[in-house]
Amino acid sequence: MHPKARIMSFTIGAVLLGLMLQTAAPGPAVAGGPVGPPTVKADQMTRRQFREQMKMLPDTAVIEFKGRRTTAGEIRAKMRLPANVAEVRTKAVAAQLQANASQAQARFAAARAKFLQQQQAKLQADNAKAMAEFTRLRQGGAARAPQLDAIEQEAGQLFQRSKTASPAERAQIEQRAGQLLQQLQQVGR
Amino acid sequence: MAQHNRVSRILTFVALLVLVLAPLTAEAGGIGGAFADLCKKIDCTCIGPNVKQVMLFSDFTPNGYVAIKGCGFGSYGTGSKLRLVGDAPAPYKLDVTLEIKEWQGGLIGAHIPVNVTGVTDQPAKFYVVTKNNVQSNQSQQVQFRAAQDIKLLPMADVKSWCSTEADEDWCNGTKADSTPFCFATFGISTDGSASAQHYTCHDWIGDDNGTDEFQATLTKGWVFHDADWTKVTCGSDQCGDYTGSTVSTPVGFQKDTTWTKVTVDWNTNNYHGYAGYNIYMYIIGPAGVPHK
Repeated sequence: MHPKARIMSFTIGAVLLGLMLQTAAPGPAVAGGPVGPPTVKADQMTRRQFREQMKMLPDTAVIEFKGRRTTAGEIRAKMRLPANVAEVRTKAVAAQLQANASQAQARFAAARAKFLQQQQAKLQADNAKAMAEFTRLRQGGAARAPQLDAIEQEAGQLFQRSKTASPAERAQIEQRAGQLLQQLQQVGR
Repeated sequence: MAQHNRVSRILTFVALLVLVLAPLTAEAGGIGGAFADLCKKIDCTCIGPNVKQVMLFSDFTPNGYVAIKGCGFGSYGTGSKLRLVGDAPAPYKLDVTLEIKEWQGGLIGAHIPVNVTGVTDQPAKFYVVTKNNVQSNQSQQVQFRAAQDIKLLPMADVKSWCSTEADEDWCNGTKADSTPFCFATFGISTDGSASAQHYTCHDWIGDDNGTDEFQATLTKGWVFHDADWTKVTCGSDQCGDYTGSTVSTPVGFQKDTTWTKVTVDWNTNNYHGYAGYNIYMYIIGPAGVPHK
């Protein structure tokens, strides 16, 4: 690179770095002096803006909020719970989560059992009605001896044949009908 | 002569009467006497297995009983069947052979097997198949109700919109946001259908509260049935309701719907405040059928 260009790029880089430090917080919130650490006026920030600032500020940066002054480093230190407190907290949360999960599981198991039980109870009641109705039908004559069904089937066939039967065939049909009538009487009809 | 004429007239009348009536009787079966008597006692018009009536006195559901009336079923034998066939598209179409309890001529009693799963609720029709493998007409349409199951909606099927107002925010086991230097101390819980954990490392500036949202959609006959929830809230050194962190009761859950949106308000606006919760959504639908 040409020496002049190198000097130019170094200068631009330095200016940009300076600008970045200056704009670490919105313009009016940072009042860094030429020698001291930057100062952030947090009163004028949203929580999200402050969180973004915390990513960039050096530990020495001074933060002012509602008349209180602290440093970014102190806030970061407070962001970590003391080890013993953190351990107790973590265990307490884990224990509570576990207990909650167990209780929820138990409640679901009970609800599911109740639901399935209700489903079965309804089905049993319906089935009892179905069986009663079935018995009533059987007694009412809807069910018949198997021979009756065979007779009925053959009678249907005879009926079909009779529509186009010759006199000779009609005589045969008549004869067969007589036999079926006798069978009917045997099955109690 | 007059006598002869009268007899002749009577004979002619009788002959004409026979000629007129013969076609009529032929149309009605063509034969009188025994055949007419037979048809008075039984239904001579029953051709083949013919389902006439399905007795509607119970749900058509697995483990339920049904009765079919008709004629021409024949005697029971190998090959005698009662089928119930639904009209849902595959693979959730019902096509089941019932367990025959009684088969008596014109009346069949049968049981829908208890292990019929993987089918949705659907209109269905019965068919009788005789021992000679002759299938009947289709019955009237009935509504088949699948066996119902109830289960927990998996977290993977719930979409979350996680509020990121705390220093570290997790929803459904996924980190939505975090702050450098914030060393959160809690475990991530992925129990239930939806969960969230919010942690505030410092309470210097602003409020740490937000609203998380969860949505889920069900298909294939599944609907939301019930919801349950649990929470854990903590301050810096202890957990409980008195620590300042809060989780409000989830709102928006609606039962008997196929879509739900649940929102939860939370607050961790205190030093090392923690708010975590789990939501359990229970869904109900046809057993063995996926819910999405």
